[in-house]
Amino acid sequence: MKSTIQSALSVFVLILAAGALGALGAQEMTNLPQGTRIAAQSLKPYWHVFIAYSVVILAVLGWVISMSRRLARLEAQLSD
Amino acid sequence: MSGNGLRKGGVALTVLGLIGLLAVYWLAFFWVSTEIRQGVAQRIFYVHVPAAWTAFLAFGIAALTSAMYLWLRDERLDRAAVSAAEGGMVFGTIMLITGPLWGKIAWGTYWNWEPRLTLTLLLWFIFLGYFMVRSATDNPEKGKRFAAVVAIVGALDIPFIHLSVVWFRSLHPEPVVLKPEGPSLPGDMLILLLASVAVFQILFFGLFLFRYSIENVRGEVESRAREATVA
Repeated sequence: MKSTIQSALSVFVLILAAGALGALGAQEMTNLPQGTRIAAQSLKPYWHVFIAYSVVILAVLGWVISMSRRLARLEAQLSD
Repeated sequence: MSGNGLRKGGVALTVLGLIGLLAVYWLAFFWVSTEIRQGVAQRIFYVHVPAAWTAFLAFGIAALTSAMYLWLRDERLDRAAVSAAEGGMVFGTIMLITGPLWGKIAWGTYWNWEPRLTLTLLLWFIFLGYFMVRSATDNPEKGKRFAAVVAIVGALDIPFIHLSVVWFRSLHPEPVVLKPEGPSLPGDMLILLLASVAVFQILFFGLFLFRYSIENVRGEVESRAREATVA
């Protein structure tokens, strides 16, 4: 239970960090030259980038949590 | 290497990979130049392509170890195959989610039944079948053998995925890195792409070792259960 809470907290912190990075990136885009700014007129791409980058972290951590649970179950069986 | 050693090695590589992933994210947002036509959406490239290459590598390892398992009947090869196949599914899923997110901005649609997308989805479903076949038979040995054949058949799809953009009309661009005349990406984009590929592979191998150590524990549980039944 404790490890699940720790994992969930880690995921939350990482998502917050990714969001902060995304927001800072958006701010930086406004300083780009006129030609480059055309591609940044909509905020929609930022959401897509944010979701894509979060998916990587969630998938990897999800796999780690799934494997940890399976290992704990098997070790419990082994010690019985 | 002992089970604990494998697990510790796996955890160390995974932690290294996660730190590397954060570094890649920082570089993707603050260092690499913005592609002029697609804007910020092109940054999905730095996770989509490494996830795809890692998935293909994992499925390739699964097929290779499966073929060797059919030949040598060594349990360790089957454990390596199932661990790699599971990694391939995770990175394949990342590829199949991040691709449409990029496609919606670049092409105006989340999905299109063009050759590369269709073949990639087929590969994902073939390896989903790999896990279903493993557990579908009463005899586990038979399940492992059937699944090994599925893995080999699935991996035959990978070269077609790579060449589909050359052979057929496709929304995907032709290769910009893996081509005979060398990469055509700007320097900073290429550096970040290769760094991201390295980080994804470190993550994969770390988690692969961890998963393999779990299969070792499962093998031990099963052999003890067999011994108990015989006794």
